[in-house]
Amino acid sequence: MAHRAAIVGAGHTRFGVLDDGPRALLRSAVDGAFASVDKGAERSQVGESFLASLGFGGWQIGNSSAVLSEESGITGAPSSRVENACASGGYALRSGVFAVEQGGSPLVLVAGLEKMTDVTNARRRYWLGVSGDTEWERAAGLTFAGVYGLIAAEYLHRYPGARDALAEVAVKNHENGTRNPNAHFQKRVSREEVLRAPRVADPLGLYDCCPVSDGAAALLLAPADQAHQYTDTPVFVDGLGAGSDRLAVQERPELTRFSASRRAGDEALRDAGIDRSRLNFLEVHDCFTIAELLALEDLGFADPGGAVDLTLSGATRPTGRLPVNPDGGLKSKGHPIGATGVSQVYEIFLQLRAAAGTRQVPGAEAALAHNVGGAGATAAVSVFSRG
Amino acid sequence: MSTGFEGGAVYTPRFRVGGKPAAAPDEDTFTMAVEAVETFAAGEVPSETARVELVGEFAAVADWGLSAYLGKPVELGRHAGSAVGFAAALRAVESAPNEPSTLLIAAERAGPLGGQAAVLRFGPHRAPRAPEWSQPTDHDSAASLARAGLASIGLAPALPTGASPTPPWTPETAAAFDAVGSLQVSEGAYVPRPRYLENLPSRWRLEGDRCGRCDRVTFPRRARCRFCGLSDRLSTMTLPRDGARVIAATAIGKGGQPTEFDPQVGALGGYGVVLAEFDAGVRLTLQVTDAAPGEVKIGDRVGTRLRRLYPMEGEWRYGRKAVPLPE
Repeated sequence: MAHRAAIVGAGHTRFGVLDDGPRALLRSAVDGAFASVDKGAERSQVGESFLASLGFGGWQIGNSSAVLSEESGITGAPSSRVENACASGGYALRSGVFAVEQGGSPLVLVAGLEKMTDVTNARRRYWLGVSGDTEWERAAGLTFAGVYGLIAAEYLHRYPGARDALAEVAVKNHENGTRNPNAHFQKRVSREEVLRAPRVADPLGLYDCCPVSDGAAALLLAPADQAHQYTDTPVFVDGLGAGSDRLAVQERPELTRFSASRRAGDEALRDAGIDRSRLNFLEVHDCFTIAELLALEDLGFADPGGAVDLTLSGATRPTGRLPVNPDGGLKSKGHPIGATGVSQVYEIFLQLRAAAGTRQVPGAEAALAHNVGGAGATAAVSVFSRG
Repeated sequence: MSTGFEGGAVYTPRFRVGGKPAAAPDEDTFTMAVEAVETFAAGEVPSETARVELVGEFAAVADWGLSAYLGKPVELGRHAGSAVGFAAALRAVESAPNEPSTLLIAAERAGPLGGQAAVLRFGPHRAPRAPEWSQPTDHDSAASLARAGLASIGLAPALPTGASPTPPWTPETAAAFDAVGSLQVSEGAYVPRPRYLENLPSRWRLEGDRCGRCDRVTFPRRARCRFCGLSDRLSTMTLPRDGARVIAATAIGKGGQPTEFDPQVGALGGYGVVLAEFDAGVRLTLQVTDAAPGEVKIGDRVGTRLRRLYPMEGEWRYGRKAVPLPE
């Protein structure tokens, strides 16, 4: 298995409603990434950096990558923002790996950030609808909750019994979040609470939706053959895949499958040369409970509709044969948009180094991260191993 | 050969309040005028019109909106919604040039008989029978006189009596929605006016492109066939306004709406949204109106109607919404 790049350090802030502003969040995540490098790394070794961010709220939409350089102490090195809505992080990792492969940079910094809770409720909901099809779907009164509500409605119509599986996703991910000190939610919810919650976009209720969170995460990448200069336990990026689809779901032939995810997943697994059966756990994009079921199907771990039984069987719990979102997922950990894809890789970095504490997946050697932009308009999938 | 009466139709809102037909909160005289035209044209958008005499109180959108809706520039005449205004409009159409046709559209949102609209077409192709215009009293509105004339030759159904279906709004909540008027609710990622106008043929008239190579329909228009990529053999087609089938349906609860729908949710509460599929395989997301959230379900057939969406940049935006169709 060829390694494309190595992750030698990773940092993560708490996710949630935080006092810290965007600059402090970036600083904290990047400082954490440097501090985590076992044998040490210098800021001057960073040859290039990438910032995943939507620019939520409008605090600094243009040129925010300069703020990343500034707060990382690497002003001077080239930096750019990568924006693919909720998939920004996955795509920033992809850019970072390409930069590593291109050579010339001892280290590449990939950071993700979103500050979402410092704006008024009305402004927040405005920003939650900026990444879908604004000319048609938004004009019909849809934000992402509404689009995923339509998707869930058709899925439930096709696969009776799926409502229980949606509830199980929420229950499981909330349970997982209680073992992640960085998670936004630190509380269990019962199946009854999920089912009884107020509807946001029928059939999706409050507990089917991820929260609006602040947070940042950062990764330090190095060429695979130089990884051991920094640590004895690097985590390797072995496969990358990505895809895109029509922006509006009304222009796609089907609602309940994301072709961008399918393409990205197939490509990443083929690139890594690894069979699905060798993956020990998954980090998938569960912005809404229905999205976790779609991810399992799009990534080939279940046939269409099969994610219902797979989920209800307990297989995706931490103790199951294919744990999904052991860190709580977007659902419970939170979803600071640009930070999410980077945060997924942070979790994989911990797990594959056996450093995930009480939520450690025993013997984890390989894992996959799946990051979706909007309602499937963009997707990035990456495959990792501990080498 | 002189200009004469060619035909006409009336539009009556579905719900009644106090026994009278009552326009829905998202209807105004402009949308009711369009409803009357579409009723007359049996779902087709007429294209041979050159002049429109508007009779009644019309929102500012009518100044440019009727040309946009009809897909060609039309001359507009304006008349008060009274019996006097109606008589003046009739004189205007009778003295209009013979060809092409002239439309007389009378609409009122809340008149003595309730909300209603009527369209009359005048031109060279005279109908066998012309309406008998009743002698107006001071209380008659132009719309009711137009309706009575059409009724005299069997072109207007009697105003409904008996129990009304229960509207998903009350006069009070409807008034609250009206009161948002020209609020400026733009918060940023919104559709700027030029982009809104650019899309009107698809948004208002349901125009799409049929590909001359693969025969598939691209809707909304994208300047090329989105299936085979060809851009030089596209021909305009119009989707039928009725009969799309619901593929998926959701109900947006309070807080699940984009900001520009805040005034609507504040006044009227949550709403339904459906993804509906036309026979051409075309899918369209549509907000549901004239029905409570959750009332329109997967598998139902729906119609599409022009309604008010939300105020933006100082004016109401309009677009198609889904309405339940009678069985």
